[in-house]
Amino acid sequence: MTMSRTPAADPRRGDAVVIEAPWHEPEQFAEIFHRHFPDVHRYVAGRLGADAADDIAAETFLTAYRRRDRYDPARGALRPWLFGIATNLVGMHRRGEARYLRTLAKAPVSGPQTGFEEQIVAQVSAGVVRGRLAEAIRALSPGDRDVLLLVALGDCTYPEVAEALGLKPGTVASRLNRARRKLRDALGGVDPTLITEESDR
Amino acid sequence: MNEIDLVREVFGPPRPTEQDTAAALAKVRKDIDGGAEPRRARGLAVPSRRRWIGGFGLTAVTAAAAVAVSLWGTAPGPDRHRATPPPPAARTVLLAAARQADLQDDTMGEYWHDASVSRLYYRMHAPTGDYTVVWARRSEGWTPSDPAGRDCGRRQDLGTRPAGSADEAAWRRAGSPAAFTIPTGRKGFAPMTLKLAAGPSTTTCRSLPRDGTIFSLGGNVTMKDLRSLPADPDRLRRLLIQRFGRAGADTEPLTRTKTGDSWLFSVARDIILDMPVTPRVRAAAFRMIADLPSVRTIGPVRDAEGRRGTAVAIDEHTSGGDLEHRLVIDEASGRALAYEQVVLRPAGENAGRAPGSLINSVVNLAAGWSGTAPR
Repeated sequence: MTMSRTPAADPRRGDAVVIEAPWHEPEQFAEIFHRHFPDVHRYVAGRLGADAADDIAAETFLTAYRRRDRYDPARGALRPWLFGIATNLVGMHRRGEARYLRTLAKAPVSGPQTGFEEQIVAQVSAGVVRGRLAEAIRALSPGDRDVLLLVALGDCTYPEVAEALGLKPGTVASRLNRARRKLRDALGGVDPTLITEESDR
Repeated sequence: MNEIDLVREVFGPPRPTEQDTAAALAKVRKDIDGGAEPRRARGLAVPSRRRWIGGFGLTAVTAAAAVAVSLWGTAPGPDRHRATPPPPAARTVLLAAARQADLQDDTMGEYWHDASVSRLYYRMHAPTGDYTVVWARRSEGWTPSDPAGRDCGRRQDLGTRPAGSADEAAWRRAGSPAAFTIPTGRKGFAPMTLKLAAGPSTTTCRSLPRDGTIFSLGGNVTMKDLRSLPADPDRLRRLLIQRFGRAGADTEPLTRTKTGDSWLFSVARDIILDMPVTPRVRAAAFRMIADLPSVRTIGPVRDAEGRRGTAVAIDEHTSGGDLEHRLVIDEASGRALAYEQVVLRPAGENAGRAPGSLINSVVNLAAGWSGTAPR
């Protein structure tokens, strides 16, 4: 079979195919890496900043490789397993995360996003929104924060979160609800739905 | 927008590029080959600055002490599990596709080029036994990014043939007719005649209409309209409903017969399949469908061209019976391969069709920017 330009772009090679193949084959590991590293990096970078993410995302895959015997493909997909490892590693750096969020809460408006920032500046102060959000996220319990950020930054589905953290689906939902409520409260007068009501064109 | 999307927008950094990923992979491989121990033990107090990057350097020291044996191909493989997993939930499929769509290149060219083959299935009646024929048409378009540019289209009737081998046998019993008469089902309209043989391909070019509209999205839209759609799924949904959902007599407005969900599904389908939106809007369209509670997963399928994909579907109750609208997705590239309409419980105009049979399909062969158009 010929490989296409990017491993992920070949429709015939889904996760299921990769999972069956042994990890220690270089091209299989490369494929798994290319497929999941960008998402894991983004998730960690959103929590700890890009610098720490370089190391922790790499560490996630190194750990996954070392524990490859413990990965049971019959139990679920690779993605939640990797996010579970990444979350554990982030968990060892809670102080780093708290510091990162504190920095964000104080920093002037120059966030990682571009388009959206420009848009909300027109409506409310983006700095206010981000600052309040960062404070609220920092105030969450570690468990609630993990669930919220796996969904928001890791684009994980509820079942993926449940699998990544070893929780029951109901627990994921209730933690997420609690986290959302706290963020909503923290935003106070700033209604998130209002922010989006600017001129779409 | 809810709080989760807000967090994503405000804190979600860009994903690393392919080059960054490849560089990271090279480093991790080096660590694995070097037999480096996990570094997490010493990382409990992470400094905010970039001191951690030294990790790779430190492992080189460890590597020197370790026996440098490559693990590639020498380590025993884990137990293979051959059980076929159940198809992933529709939401998982759609979010995976969205993530890939986010990575697509967005360099505009002079023309948006799209090519597709549509197939329509008809039930033919014969004294020797009924059979199904499929009428295939190829269409290709070059839509200018400049409203003053030329708009070109190419059409070809690929012919009408028995749909399957059983249909072919019945068609032979009926005397192998070379033409098929299809009632249009509308009063005062003559039936159309479809031929076995393919027709010639015809290409026409002309200037865009004065209002610059190029596609229909529940209402006619310009390139500028399409390029400025919001990339947030909630905002996209709201805008589509507000702006196009109640548009007059177009073919696909949100009407009493189309529920909100099936209307949104059909609009998102068109956006994903062949419209010149930005990749992030395509991703938003995937995410928009992922949020529809009535979307379900079908699983691995092959489209009419035989390409493998994963289908998700939404059902619709119509006067023609219960229909299933399927979108065949290639999660790995973040593209849609095809749209298929299947009748689950035939009624009315579909009464003669078999339950679970195709009514029509559109396979997407190309959709991307191009610098050239037919002369």
